[in-house]
Amino acid sequence: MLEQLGNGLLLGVIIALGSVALSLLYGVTRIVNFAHGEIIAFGAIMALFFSSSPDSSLLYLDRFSPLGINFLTSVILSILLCGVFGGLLELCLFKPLRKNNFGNIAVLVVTIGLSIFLRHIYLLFASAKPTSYILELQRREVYFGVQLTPRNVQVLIIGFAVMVLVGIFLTYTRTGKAMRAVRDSSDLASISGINSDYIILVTWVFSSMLAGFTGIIQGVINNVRWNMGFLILLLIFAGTVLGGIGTSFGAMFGGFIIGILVQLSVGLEFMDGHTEAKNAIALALMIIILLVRPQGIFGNKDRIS
Amino acid sequence: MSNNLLSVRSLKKRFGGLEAVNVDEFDLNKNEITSLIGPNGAGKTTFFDLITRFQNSDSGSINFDGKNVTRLNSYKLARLGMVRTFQLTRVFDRMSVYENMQFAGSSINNEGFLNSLIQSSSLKNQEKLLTEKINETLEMLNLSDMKNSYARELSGGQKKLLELGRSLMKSPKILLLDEPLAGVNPKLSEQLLEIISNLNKNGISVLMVEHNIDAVMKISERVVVMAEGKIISDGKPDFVRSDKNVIEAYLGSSNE
Amino acid sequence: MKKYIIAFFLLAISFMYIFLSNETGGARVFVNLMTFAGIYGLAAIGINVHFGWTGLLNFGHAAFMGIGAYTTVLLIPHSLGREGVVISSGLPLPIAILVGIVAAALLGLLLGLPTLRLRGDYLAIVTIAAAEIFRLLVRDFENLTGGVYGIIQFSDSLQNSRPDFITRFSESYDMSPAQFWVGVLTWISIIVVLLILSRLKKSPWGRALRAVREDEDAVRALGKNAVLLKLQSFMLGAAIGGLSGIFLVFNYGTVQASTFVPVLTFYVWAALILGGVGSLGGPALGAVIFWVIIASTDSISRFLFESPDGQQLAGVRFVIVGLLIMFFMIFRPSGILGKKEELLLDVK
Repeated sequence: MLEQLGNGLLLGVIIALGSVALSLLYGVTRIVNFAHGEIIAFGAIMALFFSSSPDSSLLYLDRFSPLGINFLTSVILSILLCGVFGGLLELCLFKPLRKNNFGNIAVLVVTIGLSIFLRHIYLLFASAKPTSYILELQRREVYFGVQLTPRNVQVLIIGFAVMVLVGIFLTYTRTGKAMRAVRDSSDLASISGINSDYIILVTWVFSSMLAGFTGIIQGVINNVRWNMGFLILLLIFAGTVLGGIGTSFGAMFGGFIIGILVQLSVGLEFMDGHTEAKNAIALALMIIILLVRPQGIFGNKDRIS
Repeated sequence: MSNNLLSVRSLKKRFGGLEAVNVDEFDLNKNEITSLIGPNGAGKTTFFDLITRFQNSDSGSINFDGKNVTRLNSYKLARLGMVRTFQLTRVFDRMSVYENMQFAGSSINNEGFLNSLIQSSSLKNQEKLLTEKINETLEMLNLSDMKNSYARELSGGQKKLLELGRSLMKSPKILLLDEPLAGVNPKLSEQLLEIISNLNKNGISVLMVEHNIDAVMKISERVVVMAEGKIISDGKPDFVRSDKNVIEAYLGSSNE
Repeated sequence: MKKYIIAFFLLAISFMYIFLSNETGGARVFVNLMTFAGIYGLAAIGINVHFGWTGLLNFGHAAFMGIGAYTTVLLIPHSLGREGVVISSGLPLPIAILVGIVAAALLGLLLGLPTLRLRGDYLAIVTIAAAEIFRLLVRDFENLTGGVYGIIQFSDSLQNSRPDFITRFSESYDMSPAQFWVGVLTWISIIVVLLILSRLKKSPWGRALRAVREDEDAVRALGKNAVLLKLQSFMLGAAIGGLSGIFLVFNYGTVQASTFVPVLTFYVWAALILGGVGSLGGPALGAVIFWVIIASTDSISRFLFESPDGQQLAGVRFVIVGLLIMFFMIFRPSGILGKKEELLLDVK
């Protein structure tokens, strides 16, 4: 079982990051964004495009070669690009919908359509094969009894640090506090002079950058593929629900628990020969939580119905 | 034969550290028009929700028409004869006025899946009989012209009338009105008040939460005042109007 | 009324397109398309009961289709899994189909009972998760379901009942008799189901369902059991989905876990939105138009990429599906045949 703990932490950090991003967006906009996975994938794919070598066999749209920029710069560029992407989504799509009084359900179906659309644009744009970033191969070493590569450990630390920074941002900065105010009560917020539209835009940009970062992390830990977002979307939902929809710390906590749970379940006896069903356990847990304690572990009761 | 319809004892509800409702004793009799008033935050709406079972009480008992209904499902209580309306009108927007009334009056048996599939002649008969009652009620409420319009096309006041009409289709024993006059223009208020008074003559007891004190004093036989979750006065309008406790409560909470 | 004229024209244009773009074998293509359209249309009729009639967001319909299919096929003679374990006896097909439909309804009960009190968007997440759990379980429990290898050799149960005149008719027009038979049965089922639904829609039950869609609290205040009504609607839509799943696998001739994936549910939703949420015939019409559009995406692929491979064909196809869903939801949420006044747009 312990050997799965390492995998669990890695899956956990991906889901935790994704959950924090989703929870942030949902908290402020009340939108369940099914295209969240595609923003995650966007970050990973863009980083791949920027950083892969021009003489690699990768070709985008049968025409464009990757740019061969160094990895760190690629990561930063990609994250910024994700922010732009998110901002554009808000300005061109979600804001007009909001202004035209589209209810949550209609927007939800739109995000499902958007997710299908984007995912297959990626399929056409990038290759269908799982691809990895150009980073040297490393061997697993043992840290506190858990087997991980040094890079994985770095990823864990960086991921965790980012989430802590997000928490600090939300708690102590002016924008962060404004975001929390809109999240807790949009009416009161607008009375106290907070420009809701601006805050929503900031939230989209912020959440998308975080999502892009999630994708890159996922790409480093595993690999990059066109449907990588869709694959973990449900687990991210599970993490968000478990931790408490609309709470950042809760989302992070829930995300880690789900990741660890999924991987640890592989080691359980009745799972012998049924390892593919490991996701099913996390999903079942999510359903149970929604039934028994829909506000999750850390959430607030009044937000549910 | 007892005159008592509703009997509430030691009803309590807390939200976190706040005690929203703490009512020792509350009774409603047949054929009474009772108003429930009190400053904002007094717990009137919560009390309303508790006795109609739209919220769970923490402790205490509720008896309706001799039966213990403390933990009964709200829809079952409504079936027994406790029918309520809502502060923000809840008409069925995308159904016609007539359909709104039809739904209210339709028997639960007929709404059973199998019965609706088979549609026996008795079901069809009952639906026909409904038509009479609907038309009469709509006539009384001055909504006959709007019979086939979508409910959402009605004005705010007309929606209130429709909600009232729907409730009447249930032939309630107690009609609970949650701020029936809120946001209604004076002329329509008059009309509503007249209808409510007449209900009383048909044997329906009315309990209404209201902020419009003039209206309250005019048609109520009995006024109950709540403040800070408790009942602080209960009696005829004149008595309550000059009750020290009431005056203090209103002045003290700097309202209206 | 205008929208019926538009619908008629769209159908006419679609059919002309099919026959014109397939000089040889037009009839075969037509039957193939109409059979798939019928199956998806039937499935869409199921979620129309959920969403259009009752306002329930069910994004796990593939599970209902799947359980109907698996239950029925496992009850008739079939061959299972990698080893091809042959089961040569079984129930008569009509009974197996009935059991399959009931199984789907029961799954609806099982899933609905705890979850129908959840708010709209949460129900969507739960139904997707439930369908995913179903898919994973089916895939993993190979002994029962054949896992990824699936189940084959069950079609005879259906094709044995095919009348001679059908066989002669299809052969004279160069169509696949087996598929034609499935198609005929599917569309007959659609007509029967729509007749039943039409009766229910005008009944007190149907009216009660609409009231629940509007305002559940008001329904309770008027003494009606909103949860029971939602549950009944959920089971009905699930049962219809189950039937469509049965036809789906008879059309393919095999049952595989990979059939009942989220993509299936999304296709069905696209057909529903296109055709018109809430209208009786809309879902079926939407499915036909939808499949014509999908069929034509291949020509678009060829236009964009010189010789598109499977990946590119699929990609273009789904890009268009995604755009369709978005476009219609934003600009024409009532679809082709839906009523604008009855839209669910401003439900918060």
